[in-house]
Amino acid sequence: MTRLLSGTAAITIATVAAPVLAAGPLQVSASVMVEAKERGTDGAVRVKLVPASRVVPGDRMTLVVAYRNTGGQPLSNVVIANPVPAALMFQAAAPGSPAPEVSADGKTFTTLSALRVAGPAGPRAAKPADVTHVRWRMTAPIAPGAEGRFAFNAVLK
Amino acid sequence: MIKNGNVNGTQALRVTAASLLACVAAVPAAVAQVTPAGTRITNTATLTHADSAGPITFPSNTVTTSVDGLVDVTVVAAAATRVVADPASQVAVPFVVTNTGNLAQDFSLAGSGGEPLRVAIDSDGTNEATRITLTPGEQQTIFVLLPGPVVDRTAVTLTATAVTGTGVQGSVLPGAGPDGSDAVLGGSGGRATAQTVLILDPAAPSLTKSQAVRAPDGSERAINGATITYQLVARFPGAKRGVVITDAIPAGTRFVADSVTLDGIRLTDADDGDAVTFDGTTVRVTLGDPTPGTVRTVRFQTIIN
Repeated sequence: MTRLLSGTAAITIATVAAPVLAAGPLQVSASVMVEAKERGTDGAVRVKLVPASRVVPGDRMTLVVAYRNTGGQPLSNVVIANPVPAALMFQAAAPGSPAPEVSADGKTFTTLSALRVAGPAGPRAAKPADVTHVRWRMTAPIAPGAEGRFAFNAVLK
Repeated sequence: MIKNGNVNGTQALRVTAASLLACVAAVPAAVAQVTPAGTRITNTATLTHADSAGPITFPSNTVTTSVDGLVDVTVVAAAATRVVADPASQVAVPFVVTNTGNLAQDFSLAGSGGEPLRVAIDSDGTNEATRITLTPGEQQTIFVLLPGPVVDRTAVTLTATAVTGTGVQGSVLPGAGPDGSDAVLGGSGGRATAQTVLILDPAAPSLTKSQAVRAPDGSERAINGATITYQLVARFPGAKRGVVITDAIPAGTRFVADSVTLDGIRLTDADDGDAVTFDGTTVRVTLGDPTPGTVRTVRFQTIIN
């Protein structure tokens, strides 16, 4: 579900403004966005992502993880992982983001098409809703000053 | 009684499929159910990188998102059309109301058949229900009661309206959520309606029963020893299949053996391949598949004990 926001129905942003954490030179920050329709001054309705302070079941959300190398050395073997909150149903990588490796147990990661889960009649191909964890492994080192972001879509159950 | 297997309403079933998840470890198994209002969703990513000292893992900031109240409702008619066999009597038309939101919610109920009709949670109308409370996901069958005589093609509707409020999808209802939080209207806009069209079956068969008494003294008094001749006339305006007439012999009378006639032709009681059998209590006449316009007449006799 998307929300139609008029000019006056302002959204209260209750997102906790947590400090950006850093381990040494690498910063990582998470944010959760929700699709909102906004009516512009020309009357046209546009879909934009706003911080998800207020969501209801059926809302389509985008979970974003951003990183930045603030140090002076390249960083290698970086893995960014995100457990899918239990109330959310994984959908797919967000547009523009590389597809994550996914897992249904938090231990075994593979592509969604290759993931198999236990079913009543033996193992079966996993569906997006089976995914409990996602991760991105960066094959190339992150150069000093480089930054990027990964994102995936989910729907609130 | 005329039995036939030809008149059936179309049954609409709503199936809720719970998705089965095979989660083994840290995340609890989840079924596809609506997240309750007031739930706080937290999300934290982790980052791992390796330097000369080995892999280092640390968390990102944690983002907390609160789930607002969702006000949503569906009404489903048990059948899109319903054939009314007895148009003179009250008809109870069933609907199922479901709270598809994530809040306990009061719904006002309104029945209509062109004019306002009573609604009840039972088919005989004992317990009228103009307002019900449903927990998230809860369903309630509601009957709309249409008094006879029923007019052909009457559209009977049930409308459920969230007492909290209605409006376009996405409208915010301030303070309508738990602990003073807000609620949001779902796709129904807080109101849902379903309809069943009542059809008076023009092809419905009719069965008319009459009797004639002849006493031993020549009178028509129903006394001991008097013979009762029953006449059953079955009319089929439309085609029917597999029609059987059954008639139990009344208490206090005894059946006259081999007295059954079908369209004036006498048939034996034995189960011997003809259309008539008598099993000691009930006359059974098999009429097969009458074509439109068919009229069949059955007569049999009993004697008053």
